Amino acid sequence: MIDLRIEPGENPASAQDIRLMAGNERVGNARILKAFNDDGKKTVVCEIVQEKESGHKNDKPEAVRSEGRKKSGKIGE
Amino acid sequence: MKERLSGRKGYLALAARGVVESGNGVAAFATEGWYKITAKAAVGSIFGELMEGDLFYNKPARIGATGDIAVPLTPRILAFVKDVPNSRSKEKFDNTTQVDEVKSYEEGTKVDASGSFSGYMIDGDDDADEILNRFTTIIEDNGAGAVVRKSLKGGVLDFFLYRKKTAEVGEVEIIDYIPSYMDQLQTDKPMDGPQLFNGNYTVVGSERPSQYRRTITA
Repeated sequence: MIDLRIEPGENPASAQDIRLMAGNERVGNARILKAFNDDGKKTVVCEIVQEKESGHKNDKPEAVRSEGRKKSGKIGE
Repeated sequence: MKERLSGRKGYLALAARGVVESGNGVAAFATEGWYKITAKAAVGSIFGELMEGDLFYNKPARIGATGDIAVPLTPRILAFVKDVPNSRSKEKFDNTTQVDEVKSYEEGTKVDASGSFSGYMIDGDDDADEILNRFTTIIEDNGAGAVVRKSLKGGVLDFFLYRKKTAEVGEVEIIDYIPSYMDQLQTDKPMDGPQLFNGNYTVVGSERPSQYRRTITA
């Protein structure tokens, strides 16, 4: 199990600069909204930004997608 | 727009002094928190412009030089306190002469600071006892044969009057450090309703009272 750590950024008085660390890795998709430091007891309120899974079209085989583009092209003509 | 300070974000706290720590040029002061400087190194003090008696907050952790000595302070909010009037005054010396149309004064240089605090009497609180013990001997009997007698005591109380208490990164916490002697305590017992108290304090200048404004950092 990895413990999360809260580390100050370049400007330690800026909540947005804070780095949320998982072990030695920075959690790249955590956006810090608010941060608190109560005599060394650190707390952050953060948003985990997770991109939506890509759409169904990309899940289709390439041949099918190519055909689809061709079809639309013909309609345009 | 500048924030208007609200009484709701202000508190009176009493700080307990811990074990004195001495700088050695290698190890940092141990705690992320408040310290009171008790001595400064003659050469290379980490405390810079601060003077003996001043407060400092040990963040980032400071490595004291040999001769830098400080005592940790742990402020605890006094849960039984309600209002905290606080005032400062200076003398003025009349130097009006016959050629003045309006009275003239010379400004005094020494500030006299004092105030009071009121609240409700509570039972079994160490901080309340610390204040009460300035005015009465306390004897505690646990009913099983152990009796502890706390004689009248004196000494400075390290009061922190929080003008704005916050832990949010980027905000500025504002504290009036008012080390004081208690010079009056009124503990009423009404026929009905809560028991009230009112205490007067006088700030001790030699203990370096100050207003400390601290930016909260991560």
